[in-house]
Amino acid sequence: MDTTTMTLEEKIRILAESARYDVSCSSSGSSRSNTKGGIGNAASSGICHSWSADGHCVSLLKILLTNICIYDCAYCLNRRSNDIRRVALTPEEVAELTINFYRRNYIEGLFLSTGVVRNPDYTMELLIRTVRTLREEHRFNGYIHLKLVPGADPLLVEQAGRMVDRVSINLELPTRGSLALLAPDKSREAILLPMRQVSGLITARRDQGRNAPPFVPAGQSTQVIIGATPDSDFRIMTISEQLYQRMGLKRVYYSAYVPVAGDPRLPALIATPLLAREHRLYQADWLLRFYGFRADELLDAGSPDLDQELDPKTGWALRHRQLFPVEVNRAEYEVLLRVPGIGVRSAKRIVRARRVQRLRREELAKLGVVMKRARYFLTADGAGSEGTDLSPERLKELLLPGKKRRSDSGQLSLFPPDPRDLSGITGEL
Amino acid sequence: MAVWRYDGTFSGFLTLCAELVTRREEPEGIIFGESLQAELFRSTVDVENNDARAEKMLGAIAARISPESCRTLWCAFQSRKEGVELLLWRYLQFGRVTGAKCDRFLAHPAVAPVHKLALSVGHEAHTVRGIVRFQETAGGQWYAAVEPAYQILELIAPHFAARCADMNWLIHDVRRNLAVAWNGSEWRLTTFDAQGVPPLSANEATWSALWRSYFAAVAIPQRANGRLQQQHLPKRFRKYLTESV
Repeated sequence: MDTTTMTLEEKIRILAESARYDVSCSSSGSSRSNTKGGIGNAASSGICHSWSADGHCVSLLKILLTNICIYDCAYCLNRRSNDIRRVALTPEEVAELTINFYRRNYIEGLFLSTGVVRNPDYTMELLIRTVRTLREEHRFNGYIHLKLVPGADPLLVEQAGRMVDRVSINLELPTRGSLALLAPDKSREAILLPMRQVSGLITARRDQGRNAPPFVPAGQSTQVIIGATPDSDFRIMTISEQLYQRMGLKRVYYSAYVPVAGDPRLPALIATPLLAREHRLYQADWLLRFYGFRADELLDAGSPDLDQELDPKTGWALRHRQLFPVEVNRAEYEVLLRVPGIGVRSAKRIVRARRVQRLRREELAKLGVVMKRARYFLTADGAGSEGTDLSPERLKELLLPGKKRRSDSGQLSLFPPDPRDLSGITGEL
Repeated sequence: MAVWRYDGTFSGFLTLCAELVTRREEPEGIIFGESLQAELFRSTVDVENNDARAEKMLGAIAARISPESCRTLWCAFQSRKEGVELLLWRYLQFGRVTGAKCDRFLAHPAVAPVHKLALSVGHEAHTVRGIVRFQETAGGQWYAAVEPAYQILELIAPHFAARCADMNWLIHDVRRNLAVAWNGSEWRLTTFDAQGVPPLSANEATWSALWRSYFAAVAIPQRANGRLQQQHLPKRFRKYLTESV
């Protein structure tokens, strides 16, 4: 290992390339203030600072402390058996880099992850030292997202959580079986234990009242890899639902598997990442979090995978045509949310506006309703889509995206979900 | 009916509105500065800015409609879109009739366009908070150039004042020859027509080079999507971005 002879620039490049498969980019949900003589604060809406060539938002300095790792997870670029250059940054180097990038407004804060060196506790201590250097020596009050190391001592997890804004530990694979196959060194318990611990501490902190010292104010998130194992969308969404409900997670990220080097344990079929599938999963995830849907309303054992052609809400509406059309001047907010083409923002606008006026059909577009889809599912002041043939087959045809968009699993123009939309929505809720 | 003219400031516009209310008149148009329009229309009423009157007008709007509508009004005004003054005047007229309920008429032609403009200005300000790029000058100050679509410097100044409290920074709106500057205790909007970037500190090139190589490394090649990048980061923002220079 020749980490000393390498320039800082080379190290950063290697450790950023190793960190980029962790797709979390959010910097929202925390409103940490600056301190006297300090630098930085957290904007609760989150702020994107740039967009990379893959269209992904760049908000945090996302980097590994080191790509040295004792584990051999098949899907991971940094697995022990992979022949790549191994480098490490010191906690001081990471802190200085963060501060200098932050002052130039390149970033909103730091997202620090790492390979596992020696053992989980030693690694977790290195991460904590980095965060402490930033918070105490540099008096940095910007956003910090810290990765938890599976198997680290609960005391270290708690210590870390007191200093950062968000923590995450990646589930990576949806089932115990997949995990045993592809990440033999990690047990599901080692992943779920800290998640449960953090969830408990967040709840405890909430009960202590407003003046208690903060504990991961932006909550915790996780990531699931899509397409490396044969797990169905139904399976994945059910797990997400449980994580939101039982663990109070803020986000589950879905990462279409990108082949980072051949491994006999992985499917050889994937030539390109399953971006369309990833996109539909994000849409379904939004339905769980903001639209009051349950996973088993969107999917079931009989149809375990999301329709790639139609968005999951439209798909649900077509299967429940007896519930439509909905009268926008009367329907409950929860019902409005289930109309294709009506989002959180437009549903709220409808509810607000109809208190002072009766809404007419032609006014709905002004409220942000996407009439292209919504028109078949609502009436406004009694006026609906009279005269249009609305047989199920014809309706599906009408709702399919236009011809110019490719319907294969190539690139849609809309994914990954716009992080600005997310912050806009979460900021309002 | 006449065309009314003010000095182009928000305060001047409010003074004009106060005058319209006093005289119970309806303007045919509201303009500012020397314009061809002013020459074409014979009857132009000039209103001189009066800070005290503007202040009082704002207080009246807050009381009659709501404090939020003052904010909406100000944000929409910052768009400086042609004809925005008349839109705002009609919004105020509608607010006088409907009072606190005014902003619930989200689909009403007097309200919807004003909300839309205010939202658009707020969105621009949000984006610019992210894409401002400070450079450290030889004198130890921090300089950033931007070309926002709207005049949003005053919307973003409080954000940087809180966040970068220990830096002496200046954000330059190159197209409008304006700047907001923070001296460690307060921020100020000033005219600013300096050309080019000031001499930079010795370290600046090192950090910007590190950022550029970091930025190039974060994109996953198998997911390349230039169109999506373009959609989020239109050309007009790229001119001053460290990573695309």
